[in-house]
Amino acid sequence: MAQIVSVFVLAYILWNTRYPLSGYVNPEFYFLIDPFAMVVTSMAERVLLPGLAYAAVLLFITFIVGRGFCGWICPLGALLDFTSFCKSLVMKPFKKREKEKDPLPLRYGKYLLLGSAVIAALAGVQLAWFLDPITIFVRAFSFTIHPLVSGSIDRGFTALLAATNYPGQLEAAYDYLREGFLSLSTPVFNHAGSILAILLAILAISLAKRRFWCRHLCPLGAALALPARASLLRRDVSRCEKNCGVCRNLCRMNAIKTDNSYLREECVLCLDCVAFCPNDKTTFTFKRQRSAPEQSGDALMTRGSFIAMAGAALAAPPAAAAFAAEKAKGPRKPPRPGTLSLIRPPGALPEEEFIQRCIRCGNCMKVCPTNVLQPLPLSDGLARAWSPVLDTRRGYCEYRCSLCGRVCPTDAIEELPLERKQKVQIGTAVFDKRICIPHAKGDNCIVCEEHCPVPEKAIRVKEGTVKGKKVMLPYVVADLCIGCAICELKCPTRPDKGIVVVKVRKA
Amino acid sequence: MKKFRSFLAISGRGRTSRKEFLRSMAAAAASVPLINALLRPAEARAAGKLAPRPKRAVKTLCDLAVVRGESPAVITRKAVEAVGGMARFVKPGYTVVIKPNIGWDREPKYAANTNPDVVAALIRLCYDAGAKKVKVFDNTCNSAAMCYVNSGIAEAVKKAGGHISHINKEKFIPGQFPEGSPMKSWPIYRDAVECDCFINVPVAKHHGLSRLTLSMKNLMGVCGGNRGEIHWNIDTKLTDLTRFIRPDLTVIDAYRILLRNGPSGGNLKDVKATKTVIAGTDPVLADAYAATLFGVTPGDIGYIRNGAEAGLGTMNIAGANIRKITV
Repeated sequence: MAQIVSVFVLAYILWNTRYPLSGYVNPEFYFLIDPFAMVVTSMAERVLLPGLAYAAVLLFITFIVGRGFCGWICPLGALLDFTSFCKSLVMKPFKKREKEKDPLPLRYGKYLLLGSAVIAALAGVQLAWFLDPITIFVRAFSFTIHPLVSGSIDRGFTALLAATNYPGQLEAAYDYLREGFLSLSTPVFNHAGSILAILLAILAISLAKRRFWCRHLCPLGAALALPARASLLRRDVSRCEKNCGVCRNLCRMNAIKTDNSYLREECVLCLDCVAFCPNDKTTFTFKRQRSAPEQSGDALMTRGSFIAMAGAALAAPPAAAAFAAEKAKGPRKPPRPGTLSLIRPPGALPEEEFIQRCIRCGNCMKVCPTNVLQPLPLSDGLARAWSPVLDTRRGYCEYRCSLCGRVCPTDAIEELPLERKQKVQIGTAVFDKRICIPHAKGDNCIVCEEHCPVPEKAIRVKEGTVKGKKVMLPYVVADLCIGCAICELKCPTRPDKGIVVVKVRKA
Repeated sequence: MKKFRSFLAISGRGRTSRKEFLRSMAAAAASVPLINALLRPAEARAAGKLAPRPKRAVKTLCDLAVVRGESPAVITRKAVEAVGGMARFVKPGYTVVIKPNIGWDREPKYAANTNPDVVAALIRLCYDAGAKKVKVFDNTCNSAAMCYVNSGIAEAVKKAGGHISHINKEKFIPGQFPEGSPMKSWPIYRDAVECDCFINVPVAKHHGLSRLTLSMKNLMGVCGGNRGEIHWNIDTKLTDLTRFIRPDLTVIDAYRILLRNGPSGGNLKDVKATKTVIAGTDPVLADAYAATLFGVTPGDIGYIRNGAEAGLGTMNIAGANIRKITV
């Protein structure tokens, strides 16, 4: 229940991740408290991110109350619970209650992933972007669920309005919805399929076993399990004499053992075992207990940790090497005609650092008012996959907006004050004189000059003669041009543009 | 429709079984509202195009009113009053469209958008004259959400009781321009045409291509499509567009004017406070007078010259009856 609330809270935050970003909670919050993402990114990049402090608070809370985060806040966990709930609804008529086979050593998979990620991070390769559950959820939500829901409501409304010849009341309702709930224009994201596929895969495996991801794979869960092993809040069943097994079957993490002891680090504090205990004998308490049935668990744990560490040690170097090789691949082919390299959002770190720092949460792309920020495809190499880049045929960088930096949890995009952002050169516009109307045909146009947002105009015009016609010829003042690409977007030539923005490397 | 017709045919012959009759009745009953709802836009689409707004002759007290003063709202009211009052243009029950320039993500002080006080004053005048609904919109150049908010116009319109709405792309319909017009069948926002009174409220400012953007250029905000193409042969296109929309009243906000680096500006050094509002029914004359505020000869502006030559209005300031008032 609480988890559903938490999903809605996050959905609400994400839904409102857009201009003017007036919500009370910055959408980067969920990432700042995420110890896995923060630690791994900090280690890989050798920086102290401000989020580490928040993450430390979460780790401390976990030390006190256990993995409550997984059971109460994590949106992916909630989604998995919901999936299992749907499955149980479907399976109910078949009365097939399968016993979950759950060999303990499999639980160390997540430590293995955590270990690999940490070792990779030590080698300078950040894997949180691929493994972090919050990222996986947020990205899928922002890129697929939100556009789908918002877009279909919008499409439905416009179709209905057109069919009913725009009755006043309905149109007023639509305008009202557009101002608040819907986006003025539904954002569309490239390569959303692969992003959704990962979420769906995780949901699919959880059909086999409840919270499969949380039990066996989640590196964030592993990071939280470490302090949770010694958590002060513990399950107390000392008054239970029957050991009826109801709680054991209920437990979504399968953390309760046959002798009614439990794996403390696996408990996500959903409290089903308290709420549904037929004899009301189960409680959670901070009191120390005399009995020590956890001994066996601890012994396993040490062996498990050893296996995990060894496995990670074996697995990580090849992974790191693969990524390093990916990084060293050198120049890549241009993503669209006319551009020489990727144009990153304003305030982005230098390319190599940027792709390591960015956890691909999608916040910047979600908040971008013109939808210009788009994820790179997987085919661009794993090192760059899903990182934000300007698709200047879809939008442009809005002159008076610096929201992408504000929502970036790892500061891969620096949070710049507007005055500074307006000076940052993310690229430079260049004319293609074979296409540009005044240059090629000698007819007046200068839509680019009209739209140039730089107060002193980075695109200026001079009188010239082309094909015997007097014409205003536009040119770029490279020192003033910030590469916002509004000129390229608004350039009326089709399909190729008379002006394109390219990345110019500084000497 | 087909079912409906077959139903008529069948009952006309009077040789149907009861079952058949009931069935066709039910089908007809179910399909009529649905068909009505679904066919209407289809018919509109089949008819194809949006017809131009009809010309309305309104007698005014003078050809043009030019009012100077400290308060944008006061001089706006005074200017409309000098022309003859809003009641000449807006009758009770009218749906009015006020089209300001909200094209750019700039605050009012940069003179890139119409002054919100001028817009609000006009809305109040319309309601005072008995308007049923006053709509305000613009097809913006920058992101609409940012333009509407930062121009101050969204808030001003709401306070004045007007209806401000964002552009719904489905409502751009190919316009029925005359044969041979370079506008061909350029998509036009249907709200701009389907209204009883259209008030054009541009801000006077510099523009790279057409030198100045005034009332005729402001009408580009009711156009859809690849608007940059309007820049190709802009003078003729703006004349045809103005003739299509036929604004009933043109109110040029020259409270602040942008002298250089328009149309978006962004530098206060380029802004001059002329504290003037110009009102009239002749868009060409209004633009011609506004050009003089910049020290530009009206005949040097392509679309003003073109509009005058095409008989859309006059650019002969000396020959016009212009009332100049200082408040």
